[in-house]
Amino acid sequence: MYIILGMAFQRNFYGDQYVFIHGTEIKGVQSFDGSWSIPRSNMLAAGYEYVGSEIEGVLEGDISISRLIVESSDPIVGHLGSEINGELVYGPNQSTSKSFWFDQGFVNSYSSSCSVGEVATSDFGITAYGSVGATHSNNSKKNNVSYNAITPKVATANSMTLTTSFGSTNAIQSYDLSLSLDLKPVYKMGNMFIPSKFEIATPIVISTSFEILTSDYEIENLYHSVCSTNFVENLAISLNEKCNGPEIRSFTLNNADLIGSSISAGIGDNLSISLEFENKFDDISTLVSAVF
Amino acid sequence: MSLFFKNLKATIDGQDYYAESVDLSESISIETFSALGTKGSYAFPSNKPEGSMNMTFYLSSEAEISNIEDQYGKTGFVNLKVGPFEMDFGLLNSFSVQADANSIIKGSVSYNYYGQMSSGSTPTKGTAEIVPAHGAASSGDFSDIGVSGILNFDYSFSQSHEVQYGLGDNAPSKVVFNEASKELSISAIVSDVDFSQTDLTGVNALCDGEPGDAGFTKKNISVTLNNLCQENVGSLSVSGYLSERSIGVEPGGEVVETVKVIEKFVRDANCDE
Repeated sequence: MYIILGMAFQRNFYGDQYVFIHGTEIKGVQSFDGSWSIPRSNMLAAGYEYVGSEIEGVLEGDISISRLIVESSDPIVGHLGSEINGELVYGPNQSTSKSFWFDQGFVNSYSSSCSVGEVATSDFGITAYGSVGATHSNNSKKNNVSYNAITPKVATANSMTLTTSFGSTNAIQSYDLSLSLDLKPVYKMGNMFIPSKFEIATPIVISTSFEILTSDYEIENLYHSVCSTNFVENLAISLNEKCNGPEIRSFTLNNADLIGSSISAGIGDNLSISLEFENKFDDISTLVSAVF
Repeated sequence: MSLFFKNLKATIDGQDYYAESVDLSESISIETFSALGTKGSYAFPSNKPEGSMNMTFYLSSEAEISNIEDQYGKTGFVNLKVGPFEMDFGLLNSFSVQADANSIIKGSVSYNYYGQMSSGSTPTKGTAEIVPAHGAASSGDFSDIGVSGILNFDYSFSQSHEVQYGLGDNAPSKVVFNEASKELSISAIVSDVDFSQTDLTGVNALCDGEPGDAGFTKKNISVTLNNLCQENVGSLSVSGYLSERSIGVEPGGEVVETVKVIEKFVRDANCDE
């Protein structure tokens, strides 16, 4: 008989990890990636060589979260363009005593995609300009999380409605929608790396692309894009609950500009075409009310 | 003699500096002539060797700045030393500091020296760890010009001298101070600026106003330099008049106002002439 003595290592099971954004638990999370790095510059002085290193640059944290759409509302949309905090809460033995926290965060990207046979996703990224890492914030849910089961409302590929000029006769295989926000923080001297203001660069661009199995679609002539209305289209993506249930998420993209087309053919493959559209907005509130 | 960066410790008037870069250069004026009845030409030096030292350095202590400020408007020579190279007759030409919100603050200094450098033994490498002034921890008092917070600043001092030699002298015999000025230029977003306080003219147009008035009155502004541990590393101040302001903006950005205060510097004669 052997007795093994030593430290007991434990792991954090995914079922005991929770993601919160501005106090609201985010459901359907598939992955959470948080990081920070310190931009240190080495200092070299004549007569001494290395005399230390110092922070030079901006102190930012990066968070990226991927989700399956499992709810009929998306709390992230309401936070686009606004300052948010959030965290990944975890801890040994379901203690939820640890947190990867961030504040002064802004959503810098938002995307949604789905292909035949998949559940629709809705991913987003955040840049955090305040504290990032362990926290003593009263807003943290550390040690204050209770398991809250949900009945997922899954948006599957076969229950979505796509409004396009080509979808009725050409089988759409996938859509991919992405929005990126170019944040411009304003740093003042003496503020210890904390930005005092934020500006969002415009235009804010939403890119939408479709992959179709081609039946009768013919790619527009590039030179017809000069002074033509054929390159503007009203698009809509409606994600419905499985088995033709009610709509749980939608994206409306009126007056989308066709900016790219590609065709691909090969032996043994179906002829496929990819179409890429862009919508541009000059402020985030107009975008949110028009698209979501 | 092998010389490396690690051997070139920079010292000005006995004060050590942590130089990121240092350059020395010197030259001499040569007169050539020939004469009837001679073949070829002859040359002789028409002036003593003169040179310059330029240095960019980390600001890590109050003594570094005060040592340079002590030379503002003065005519006395200071000793310059860079590793084994030594110059006995140095005069401060310019000193400048630029800073922004997220960077290490460095100073740049320029000296003219008279007479050629001498060379001694090679110093050994020193050891040090510094915590330099940093823009994230440095701020200032700009209330006289109605500014509550700045994005960056640019401080500069410059002066000129006339160095005279006497017949039979190898070293300069007289130094005459010509002029000097120091300037502090700051940039701030317009929401942090009381626009009327940066007016170039006052309520009485170009006539001088009372201290504290907007417009053409004497303004005292200063920058306090701290390191990231919030330790004071020195200060830079200007007591002068608003001479320039400008407004600029880039796409997607906020409007930025830049203001410059300039102070003409008067020689401190110290009864030595």
